[in-house]
Amino acid sequence: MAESYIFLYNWKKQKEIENSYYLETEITATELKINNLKDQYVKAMEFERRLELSSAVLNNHVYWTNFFNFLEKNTLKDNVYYKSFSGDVYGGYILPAVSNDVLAVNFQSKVFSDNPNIISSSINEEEIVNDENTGKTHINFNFNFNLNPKIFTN
Amino acid sequence: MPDIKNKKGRDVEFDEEILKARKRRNNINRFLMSYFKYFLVAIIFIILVLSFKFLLIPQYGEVMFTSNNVLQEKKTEFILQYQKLKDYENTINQFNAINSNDIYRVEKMIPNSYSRDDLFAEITYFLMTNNYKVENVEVLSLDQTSTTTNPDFNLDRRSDLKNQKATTSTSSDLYKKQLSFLPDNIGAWKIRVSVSGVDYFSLKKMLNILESNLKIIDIYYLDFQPADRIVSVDFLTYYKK
Repeated sequence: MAESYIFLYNWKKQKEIENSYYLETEITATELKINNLKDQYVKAMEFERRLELSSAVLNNHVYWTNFFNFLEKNTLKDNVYYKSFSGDVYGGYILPAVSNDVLAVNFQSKVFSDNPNIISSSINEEEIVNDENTGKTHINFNFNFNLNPKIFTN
Repeated sequence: MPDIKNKKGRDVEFDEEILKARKRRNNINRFLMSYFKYFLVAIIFIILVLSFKFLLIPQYGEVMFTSNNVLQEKKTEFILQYQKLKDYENTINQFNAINSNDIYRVEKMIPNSYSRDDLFAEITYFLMTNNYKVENVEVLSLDQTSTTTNPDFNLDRRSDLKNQKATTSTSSDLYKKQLSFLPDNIGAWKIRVSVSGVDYFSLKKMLNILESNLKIIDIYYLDFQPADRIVSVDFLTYYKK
């Protein structure tokens, strides 16, 4: 009985040693391959991270050309002119403008109000100027509007 | 006399009891002599069964468990290593399939950290080669926004300082909202550029050039005065920290 017990104990130890070598060649070979590919892998991962960063930045990339194209498309070409522009990308603007036609000012306001990208719009500080030399009348006014800021990133 | 009779009677009873006890012992001894080998066999059998059940079987189970456990650990280790290798190979293959020009473009979009001097020279040269009359270029690192700019690098030192004082109250914090969308490991430079001799069409061209530049440029503030033909833009450009 004791011999059997000792035999089983020794057998267990032997099995442990034998099995510890199981797949050892394959594991070593795989580790070697991994080590050989490590530099290329690090380079690829670095690129992947940079690509993720670039995507994050590109998703919020600002296009002012979108804004000016929008303004051109929604401004009466022959009647309304903007004197200057100063603003950021967050949507609120006050544009000093001039028009040669009172009705055009009103119509321009309606064009903006009806546009889905304009959240709100109004006109104030109207000033009618009569040029005595030319005999022509023009209207100075401020165009206030809130634009959906997504127009810069779409 | 009766006492002597009684004593004799008691002795006889005592002798009979001794005889009975001896007879009983003899019977037991005879029984044991006859069946001893069977008892011995039974006891040995019981000892064997108990040893087998409580020593050998558990030990055998332990041998099997240990053996399988080691095998299983080795298999798991091999599978993990193999999966890691496949993951490496897939990533590398995907990377190798990308056109080298595209890699260059992506690296240019968000370059590694570079110096303020490099950026100043790059932006100024970029605008000048596109025929813009650059009045002022100011570059600020957002990691040290509160520190002053190095005026030596401005084209017009006095005008830069004047502009800085005039505009910090209006647009100095606007970039923060722009940055809030970005991951933490992206650094940014804040740049202010003033260009003269600009009409509406050249402004649109300039915006187009800046927006489509390989290095990403996000203009967050723009001031255009057609009467003076001057445009000022505040923008961010990024680098990988």
